[in-house]
Amino acid sequence: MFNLYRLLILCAALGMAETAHADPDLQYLDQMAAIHLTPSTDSKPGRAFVATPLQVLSRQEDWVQVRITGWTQAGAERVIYAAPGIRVLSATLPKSAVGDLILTDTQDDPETGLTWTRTELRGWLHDPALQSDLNQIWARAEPLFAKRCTACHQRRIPDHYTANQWTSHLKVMGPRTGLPKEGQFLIRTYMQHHAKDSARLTQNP
Amino acid sequence: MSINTSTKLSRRSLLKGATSLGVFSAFAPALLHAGAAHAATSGEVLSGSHWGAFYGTVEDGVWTKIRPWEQDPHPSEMLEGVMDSVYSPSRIKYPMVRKAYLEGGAGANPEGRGNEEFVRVSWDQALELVTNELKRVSDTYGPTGVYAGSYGWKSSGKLHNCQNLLRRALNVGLEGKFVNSSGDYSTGASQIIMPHVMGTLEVYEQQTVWPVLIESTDVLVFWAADPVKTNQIGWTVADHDTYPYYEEFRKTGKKVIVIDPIRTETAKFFDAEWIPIRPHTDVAMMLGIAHELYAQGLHDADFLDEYTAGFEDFLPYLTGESDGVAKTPEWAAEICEVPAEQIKELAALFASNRTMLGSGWSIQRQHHGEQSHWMLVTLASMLGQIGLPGGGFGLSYHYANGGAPSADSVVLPGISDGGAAVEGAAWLTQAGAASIPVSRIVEMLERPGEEFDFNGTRTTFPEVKMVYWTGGNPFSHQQDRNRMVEAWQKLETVVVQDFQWTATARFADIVLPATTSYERNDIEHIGDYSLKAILGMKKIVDPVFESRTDFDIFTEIATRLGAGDAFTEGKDEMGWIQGFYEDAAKQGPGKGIDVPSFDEFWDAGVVVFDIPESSKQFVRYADYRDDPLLEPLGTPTGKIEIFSRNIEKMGYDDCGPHPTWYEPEERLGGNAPYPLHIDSAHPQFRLHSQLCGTVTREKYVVGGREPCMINTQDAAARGIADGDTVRVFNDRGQVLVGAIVSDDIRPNVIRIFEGGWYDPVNGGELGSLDAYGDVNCLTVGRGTSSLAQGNCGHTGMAEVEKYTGELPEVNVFNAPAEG
Repeated sequence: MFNLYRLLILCAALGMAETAHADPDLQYLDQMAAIHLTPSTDSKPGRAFVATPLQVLSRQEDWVQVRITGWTQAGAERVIYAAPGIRVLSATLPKSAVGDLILTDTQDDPETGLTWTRTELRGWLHDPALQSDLNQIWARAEPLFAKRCTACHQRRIPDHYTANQWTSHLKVMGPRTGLPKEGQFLIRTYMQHHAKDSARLTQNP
Repeated sequence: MSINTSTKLSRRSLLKGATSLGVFSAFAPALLHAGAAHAATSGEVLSGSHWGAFYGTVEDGVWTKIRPWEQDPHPSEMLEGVMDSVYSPSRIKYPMVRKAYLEGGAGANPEGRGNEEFVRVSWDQALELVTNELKRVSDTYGPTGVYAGSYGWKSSGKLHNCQNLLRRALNVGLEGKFVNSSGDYSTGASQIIMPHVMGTLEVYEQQTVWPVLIESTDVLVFWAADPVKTNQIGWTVADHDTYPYYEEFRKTGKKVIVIDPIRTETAKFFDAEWIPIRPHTDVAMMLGIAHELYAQGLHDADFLDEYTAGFEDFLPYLTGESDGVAKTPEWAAEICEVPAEQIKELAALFASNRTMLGSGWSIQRQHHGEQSHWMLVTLASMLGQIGLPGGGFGLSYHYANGGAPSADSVVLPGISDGGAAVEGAAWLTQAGAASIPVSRIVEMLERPGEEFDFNGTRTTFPEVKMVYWTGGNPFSHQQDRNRMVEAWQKLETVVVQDFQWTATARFADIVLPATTSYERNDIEHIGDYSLKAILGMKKIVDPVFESRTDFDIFTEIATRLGAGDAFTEGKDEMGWIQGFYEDAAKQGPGKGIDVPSFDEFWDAGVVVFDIPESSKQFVRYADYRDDPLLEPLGTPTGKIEIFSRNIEKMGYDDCGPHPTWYEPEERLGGNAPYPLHIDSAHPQFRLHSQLCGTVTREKYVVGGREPCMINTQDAAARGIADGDTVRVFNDRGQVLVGAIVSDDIRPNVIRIFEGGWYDPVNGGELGSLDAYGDVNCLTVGRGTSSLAQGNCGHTGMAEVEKYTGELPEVNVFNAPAEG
């Protein structure tokens, strides 16, 4: 009885937040990747981060052209976040590439006084690891969190903190896990997607 | 990097020692008496503890001498007590069960806790009782029947982390059906408010390092912080690396100011200017300084504009435009008793010099404690020096040698709590909160099924029937002892696993004897912030009496719950230790660090890492100051939030959207049901309550009881002389303590260090006189506010009188009869 119940809750908790926009073309980056403006390694690339949703536009040999939509803060356009005010990193770009971003709607957030602009980035990934099921990525993150983030202190509850706070916590605590940066980042993203305000990630696709 | 060859015992002999024991039969002839412990060998062994790394000399299997590790720059004076914790009379020798519980089962005569005799049982019987009870309680009461949020300063070591091992056993063996705790008693308020203000915890984070302070700071302020005292200890193994820097700073002759009701060890060390503030009024004093900065145009408007949010929403409160009360120095002086002129001078001094405001945690362990550090950050923001070398604020200079430069080190993992999906805990919330702010445990027992606020959420207190505590002493660290004694009577079963007969063990039903760290092998870092070395915490002597290691005890429990293999993952003690080390060693190549093999490391006993020059230049928030857009803080605005919309939305009347002066439930000069404020600071010669049951007590007891510092005038007015036994009392409780009459404490304040072992003359009787001096008999048990629900260990008023009655004996440092 309890086990079945637990399973249902578990499924609900894992599934609910992420299936809201079931788009067959939607893929998620399975691990951090360099993102280029052209299908070549000639120019300085940006970075696209694990679990970033993207759409595949075309393929050219080992290169895949993708579209990443997100939000940037006025004055810091080279950092693309998943939602306005929710600093879940989708991609970062070299300064030189900012001009290639397609900027659309702008929102002023009266609470924070910040201006956020919906941004579309079209870029190329070389032989990227893509994943259609976000839960597969969390299935990798979860044991990492459970194992590494309970060794020094009690298990923290993801929704006790906001997504932005998780960025800061991992900045300090991440190096104390002894994990490579990529592992630390995976934990951070996982915590952000299960944070107090994670529902806002799906309200601003 | 170097490797220290420092042990005279070979690995082989240690391992041989480790495997040759472990079989205990019930009531076997007591061969393992203290003083005749089973001898592994003789020699000198390097090991470590919260008090630092040290060598233990073993003669014929008995630990006879202790001396500090030669690379400890400031060894703790408490090391003798570390050795004595193995052999002291307060040692738990055997598994024991409270008599009525053994005879009547769970829930039998709960009022007898703390008074009734204990009966010795076999390990087999004790473990059977424990596992059957875990199963019964979770079968009967569901997932929130068992509380395993066991909290406290468990001994150092990455493997024998008893609290994790407890939760690991229940995660793998009981499907994770237990209620956990969140937060801690040290920083309950600050670690909740700071993420709203700075985006991060602050309290456990590296500080602008001491070499930078020595170079760049002009005015160093310790606001309710006493690092010279409290940095004797560390969560891992203390490095004491900041002490030589204190010497160096002192030599510069730069100004040090200590704001504290007590002339602290730090004040004496630096010969600091002492500002004996009225306790519990720090927010008012900070507001007074802030008002003066603003009135004189000394605030840094550019910094406020670029790096903070909401100053303009705070300003009407500061000026009094919003509430009719200008927070002027004169207003503040009335409350905090620091003269208005001095407040004005401080404002000018801070603004015209590079000023570091280092704050301790006592001012947030108070009613409305959230406000203290929020206001400190606001003050530092107005000064505009955050992110500059030697300026700004720091909330961890007094903790674990904060500000000691960090080594280029590899990092050890540790034993995990064994739980898989954190969402698994979601099902617990159907029956009540899966996690309770740690100091709300008494409230949880008092009002199960009722709701409580916490940081913007409203949750239900679960109905807990069984508590399993290990690696902590809640009958020391929880406030309002008598209220706790009563709440504890609601429990059907209490299991305590420890190595000393603390008050918590005396209030248990089932007591399991664990080893100290020094009777087992483990591994740990030296230096929480410096990470300067990895230490093999080698076993010094075999387990005395019938004690067993924490890993061993929980392996047994997990096995009896049918999950032994999941618990051990097929590894024994040395297997785990080697695994942790090798996991860390793997980071070496990526970080460019040459890490020796495990065998080399274990033979040498320690591996020490280099501290690079770049670490000696670390300035907290320099990155944010350099580029606030690309290095935003973890707040909604990405800036320092002097005004928080998120907190505003919570709508709490006891924690508003900007730093605010709130009158606390009790304070000197305010609502004062008794005339003296109780300062319950961290002890000089203990780690909270640890080592109270050892010879270190001889360094400080007065008439065999916990000391109570009282001002000369206050003592004279009450006919109290130095060395007198006095009774301190209020409506919550009464304790006997020994008076130290001194002018190192301001009038109307008494100090009783927290951590004195609770020793009720009539155990289990509510309101009983405490014969030794547990200050938490007197303190307030409420939460700081709806926001953080932290503890209020520094809130409370009391009266003192010379004690003329018959002096009750202090019994808490001897094992109970038969024990």
